[in-house]
Amino acid sequence: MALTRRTFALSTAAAALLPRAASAATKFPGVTDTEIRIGSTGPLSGPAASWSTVNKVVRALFESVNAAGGVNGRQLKLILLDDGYSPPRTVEQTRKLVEVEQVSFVTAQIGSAPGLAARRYLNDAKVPQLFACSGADAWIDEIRTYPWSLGWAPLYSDEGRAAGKWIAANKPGAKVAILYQNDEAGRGYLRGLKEGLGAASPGLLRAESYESTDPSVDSQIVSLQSTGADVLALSCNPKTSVQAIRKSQDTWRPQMFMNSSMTSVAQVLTPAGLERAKGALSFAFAKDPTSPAWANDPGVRDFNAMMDKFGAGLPHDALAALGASLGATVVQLVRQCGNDLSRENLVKQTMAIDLDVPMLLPGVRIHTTPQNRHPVRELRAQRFDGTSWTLVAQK
Amino acid sequence: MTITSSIHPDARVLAPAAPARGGSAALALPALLILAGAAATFLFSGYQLLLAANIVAYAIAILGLNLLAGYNGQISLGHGAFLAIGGYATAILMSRFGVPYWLAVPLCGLVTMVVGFLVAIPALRLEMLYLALATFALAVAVPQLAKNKLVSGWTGGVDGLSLPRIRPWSALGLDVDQTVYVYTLLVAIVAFALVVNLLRGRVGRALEAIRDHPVAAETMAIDVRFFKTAAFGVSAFLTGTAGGLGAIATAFVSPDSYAFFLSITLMVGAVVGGFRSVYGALFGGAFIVLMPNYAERLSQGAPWAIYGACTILVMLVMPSGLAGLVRAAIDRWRTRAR
Repeated sequence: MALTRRTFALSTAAAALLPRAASAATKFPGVTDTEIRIGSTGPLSGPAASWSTVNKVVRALFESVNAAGGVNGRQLKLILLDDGYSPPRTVEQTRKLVEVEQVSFVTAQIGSAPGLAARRYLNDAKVPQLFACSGADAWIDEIRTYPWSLGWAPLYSDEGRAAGKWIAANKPGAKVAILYQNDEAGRGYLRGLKEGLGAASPGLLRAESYESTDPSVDSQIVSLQSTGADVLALSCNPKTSVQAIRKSQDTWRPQMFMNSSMTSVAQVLTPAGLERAKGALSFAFAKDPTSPAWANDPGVRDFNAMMDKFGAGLPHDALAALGASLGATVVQLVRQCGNDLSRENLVKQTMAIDLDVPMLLPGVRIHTTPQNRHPVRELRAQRFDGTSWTLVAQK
Repeated sequence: MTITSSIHPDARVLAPAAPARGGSAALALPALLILAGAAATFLFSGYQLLLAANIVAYAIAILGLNLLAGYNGQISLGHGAFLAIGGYATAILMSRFGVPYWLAVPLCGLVTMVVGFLVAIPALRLEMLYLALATFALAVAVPQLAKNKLVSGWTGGVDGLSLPRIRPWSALGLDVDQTVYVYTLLVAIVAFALVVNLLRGRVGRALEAIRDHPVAAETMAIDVRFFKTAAFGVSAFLTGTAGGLGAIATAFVSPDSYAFFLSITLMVGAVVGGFRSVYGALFGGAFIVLMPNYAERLSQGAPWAIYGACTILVMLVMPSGLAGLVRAAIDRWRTRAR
C-alpha cells in the first residue's frame, strides 16, 4: 500500500508534466485565423528582473495593437515565461514555448547567454528566434550557421566602434584610456573601440576592467590617469559609472565617452554631478523618454499614451523605449507576412524590412536586406550639455 | 572484557535509526523508482524528458550536498561551484578535446573531486557558520574565474561554451532527448547505489558520529580529519558529475548558468526534500525544477518568494522534509498493518 502511495505520488507528478491536449491542427504552427502565438523569455524573477521591462513593454505594445483590431485580423498573443536569467532554464522554457505552448516564433529573449543557449535548439527545430535582446557579436558573426536567429539592437562592439571612429576622425592624436566591466557588454565595447580607432596614433594606451561586485574603481581610474590619456571611454553599469565619473573628473578631467547604459540623467548623471558630466559624448539609437529634448515629440507622446493605457506601472525609460521599438518591428513583420505566416516566410520577411520606428532617433532606420539582416546598426552621437543629451548634427 | 565488546551494544544504540531493511523489501523501493524512471523514457517526450533529466541531475547534486551537510554536518553554501566545475570540465573535455560525453561526465566528477579535497583541507579548520560563509565565497568566485583572460580561450569567457551534439542511441531506438535522459538515469542509479552502500556501513556511522559529536567520535578512534576530507571529496564528485549531466542536457555552459543563487537553491532543495535522507534528494531535485513552473501560475515574479516560504514551512511543519513525511506515513501504515 505504501509502495502504491509513492507510485501515486510519482504518477501524479508524471501527469503534471504531460502536456495539454494538442490544439486543433492549423496550417502554420502557432497561427489561426484569429490569433498568432508569439513566445518570449526574460528574467521576470531574480537579480536581473529590471531587464524584463523590455518583455513587458512588448506585451503592452501588442495589447495596444490588438485593441485597434490586431494585424490582418489576428490578435498578437505574447506568451512570456520566466527564465531568471539562467541559461539552463531558458532552454527549458524555450522548449516549453515551442512544444507545449506551440508558438509560431520566439522573440525578444533577454540576455546573451540565455539567448545563445536557446539558439541551437531553435535552429534545430526550425523555429525563428527573432530580435534577441543581446548585443553579443555572435548574433552577426554566426548568422550563417544559425539562420533562424536574429538580434535587433546595435551590438556592444558597434558602440565601441562608433566611439573609436569618432575619436579617430575628430580628435586625431588623442590618447585613449578605457574602463570596462568584465562582461560581454564591456568586452564587446573594448573590441569595437580598438577596431574603430584602427591605425590612429597613439590610440588606446590602456584598458582597465572591473567586476560588477567590486566596491570601488578608484584604483583603476588612478592607473588610467597615470598614462596621461586625454580621452576616457567608459562601459560601466550605473553604480560604477557614478564612481568613475566623480573620480575621473576630480583632477584629471578627460573627454568622456559613455556607453548607452550609463546615460540616464536621473540614475547616473545627477548623482555623479551634472557639471562633471557636461561635455561627455555617447552613442544612442533610441529616444530617451525621460529627456526634456523629446518632450514634444509626437512619437514619444504616443509612446507615453500607450504606456499609460497598457503598461501601467512600468517605467517610461530607455528599456521601455527599446521594448516599444522592438515590438513595433515584430508588428511590422507580421503585417508584411500577410496570410503566409509560415516560419520560413517569417524569416524571409526579416530580410526585407524597411521601417521608420517612432521611438528610434531621427536618422536611425530599420532597413534589412539578405546581405545585411541585422535590424538596427546605426548609432548617433549625442553630447551632454549639463541638463540633457542633445544630438550632434550629422555630417 | 575487552573494550570493544563493551562498546558494541552502546554503538548500536547510538547508531542512527536506520529503517528496518530486510532482504527483498529493501530492494522493492529502488526497483520501483528505477522502473518508473525507465518508463518515463517512453511516456515523456522532448520538453518533459529535458525536465526529467534536469530533475535527476539535480537529485545527484543534492545527494552530494546531503552527504556532506546532512550526514556529515559540514554545511556548504557553495555547491554551485562544484556544479560549475563539473559543467565546465565536461564542456571543455567535449568541445576542446573531443572526449565523448559518456567518458567526459565521470572524468569531470574526478576533477571536481580533486577540487573538493583541496577545499576540504582548509575547511577542516572551519565550523558551521564560517564554513558556510567560506563555501559561499567559493560559489561567488568560481563562475567569475571562467571569465578570466587567462582561461577564456578555453571556457568561452562571458559568452559561454556550446557543447557538441550527442549521438543518440539509435540502435536502441532512442532519440537525443531520450539518450540524454537514460544516460542521466544510469549515472543516477550508480550514484545512489554508491551512496546507499556507503552510508549503510561503518563509513555512514562514522560520518554521522562526526556530525553529532566530533569529540566523542575522535575518542572512539574515528579518524575525523580523514572522514571529513573524504566526505568533501565524495560530495564534490557527486555534484561535479551532476554538473556535467546538466551541461549535457542544456548543451551550453556560461558563467550565468552558475550564479551564486544556485547554491542557495540546492540547499533549499536539500532541506525541502529531506536533509538527512538519500531518497529525499529525488524530492529535492523535483522541487527545484518543477516548483518555478507552478509558481509562475500564481505570479510570474514569484519563485524566490515561494522558495523562502517553502523553506520556512518545511522547517516548521516537516523538519525532515518530504522524505521524512513519506517515511512517517510508511511507518504509520506498517504499525497499523500489524
